[in-house]
Amino acid sequence: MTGKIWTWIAVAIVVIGGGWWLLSGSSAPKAEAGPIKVGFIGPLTGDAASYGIPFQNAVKMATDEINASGGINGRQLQIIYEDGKCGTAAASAAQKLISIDHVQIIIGGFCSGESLAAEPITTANKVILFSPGSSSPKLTGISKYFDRNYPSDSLPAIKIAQLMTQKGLKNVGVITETSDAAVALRQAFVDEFQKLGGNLIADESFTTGTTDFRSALTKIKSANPDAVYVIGQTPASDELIIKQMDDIGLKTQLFGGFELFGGEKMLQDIPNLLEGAIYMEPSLDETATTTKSFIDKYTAQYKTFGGLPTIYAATSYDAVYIIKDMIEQYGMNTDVIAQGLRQLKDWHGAEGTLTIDQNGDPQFQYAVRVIHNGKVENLK
Amino acid sequence: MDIVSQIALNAVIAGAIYSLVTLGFNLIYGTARFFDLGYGALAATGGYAAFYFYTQLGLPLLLALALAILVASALGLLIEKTIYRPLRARKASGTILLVASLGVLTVIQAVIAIIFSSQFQTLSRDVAAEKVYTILGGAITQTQVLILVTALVIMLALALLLKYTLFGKAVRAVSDDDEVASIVGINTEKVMGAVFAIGSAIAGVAGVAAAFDTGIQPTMGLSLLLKGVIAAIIGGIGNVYGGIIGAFFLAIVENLGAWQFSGEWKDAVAFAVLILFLLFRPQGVWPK
Repeated sequence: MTGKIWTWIAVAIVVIGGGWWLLSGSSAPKAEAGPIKVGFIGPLTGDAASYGIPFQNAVKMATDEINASGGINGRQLQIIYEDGKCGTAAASAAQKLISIDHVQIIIGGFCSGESLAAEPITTANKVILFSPGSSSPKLTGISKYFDRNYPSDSLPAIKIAQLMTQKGLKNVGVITETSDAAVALRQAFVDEFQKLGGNLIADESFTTGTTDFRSALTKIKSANPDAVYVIGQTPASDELIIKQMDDIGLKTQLFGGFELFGGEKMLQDIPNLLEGAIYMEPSLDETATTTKSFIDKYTAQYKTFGGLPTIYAATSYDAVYIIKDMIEQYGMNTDVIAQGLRQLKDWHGAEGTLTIDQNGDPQFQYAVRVIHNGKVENLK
Repeated sequence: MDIVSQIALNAVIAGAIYSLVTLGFNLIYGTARFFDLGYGALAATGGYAAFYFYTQLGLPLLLALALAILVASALGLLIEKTIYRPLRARKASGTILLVASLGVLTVIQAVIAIIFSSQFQTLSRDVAAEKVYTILGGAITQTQVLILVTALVIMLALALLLKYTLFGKAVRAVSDDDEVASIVGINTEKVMGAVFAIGSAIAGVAGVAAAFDTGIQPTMGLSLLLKGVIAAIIGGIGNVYGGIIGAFFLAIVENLGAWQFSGEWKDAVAFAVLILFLLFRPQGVWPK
């Protein structure tokens, strides 16, 4: 009996002592040794995983390249991946990355909803949040610690409204997903369109994860619109909406809220239904050398962009290199990095040449695209 | 008029899928008497199996569908034999079985996501070539007509099976009182296994129908299950026929909500109906 007690005491000493030794050991080496930890927040599950997975792939690819060529200032780069689920889960992901992993820089969120949820936490902790995918106009100038290399949607929304007016499409129906990015885009569009004298004759919305849109589309059809503007957050919603429009016989000029219409998956699945569809996208010159070499390398490694346009993976890949350049130039002081990011000018990467303005937004050219015979063309 | 008939058709299509889900759910609930959440995952399994056999392997449509339903049925039976039966033998309560079935749901969803990714996928079909029928100004596609017919055939077949066969009598006996049933010589475990196999096959059909109608994603099972459960509660839980009424009632109310308010209100309306029923008529319109 006493033998047993002694065994337990020995075990307790080993566990408590060992635990204390391990914990104190891990907190000792700080700052200048070990890998540089950078956080990642993106939609790794759910519909929006179609963005999150290429985002993660591109970040991994850039990180591997950087580590293979000696890291950042001789230290390896370690990315800690967290799932933001395209929404408010990004807040707890940011909290975890900051308080447990002690990161000072986070790449993400990807969805606008993620960036909007994480930003108050990162700003309060003076942590840099750098988004390669969030497009909500609400994020413009939201914090000195938030920047992005993906442009705001306010410009394409206004341009689409002007284009509709030019084409004489007076009565327009809109169907919007109730996600941060889609709602903000719709608002920017509606303001401009109504200012130009257009009539919003049907205004439907749906929650993320909806798969049956028929009754909402039936209402739009009964309003007999000249055009329908489809603002879904992911290709999954857009594709279903367009299919079900066809099912119920709603045939009209299609406009796309995001550049998803030009993604490889939609073009493969429903080329006929997309004929004549118009959308805008940040113009990416796929023949430029840096862009081309990125696309070649990415497709060799991961085959597919997950059905999305190339631009999303390109901005994700660039984000890692921008962060690397910032750390090399300014060290780990986030106040200095925050200033440095807004002085970024003519930076060359996979997305072309990048300049970030005083509001933390990149300056981007937009192209108006139209789908013709299953291929993406520029609108003449 | 066009809009009314289209909304009505939309409700009928949704109702057909909901009624399939609720049919199998009620069959299992009525016999095994626990809230089988894993049932949702079996619907997803059916959808993904159809995607694998039809879209990825390129098998002929009917063969792919038969295999998909078989996979769902076999998986349901396997789960019953390896998880639920040992728990029942240990006299586990309904709550324990419910928690176990939640585990089943989570594991199957995760495995599907690992194999097929968590992205939304569609089963390839030639959209332009699909026939569209017009009824009173409303449109319905060939796929949807087939789903509706399948749902009606399965409802009828199950009703006949339960009413007129010896097996049906045994199922009813077990669901009335399994101890008495075993005393009079019914092999309750065997009946239970058969109920799980049939119920899971129906879940598989529902999953396949949803897959062809809209598309698949690993979490599709849970949303289908929720609609099926609401339909079951409206109809009177455990009552196979009541569930069908509940399913169509739910689909009509949902689509009326989408029409009168906005599409984003659909789920809110569905769950409001659930709450109203739980408060004022928890036994459903047609108690078992």
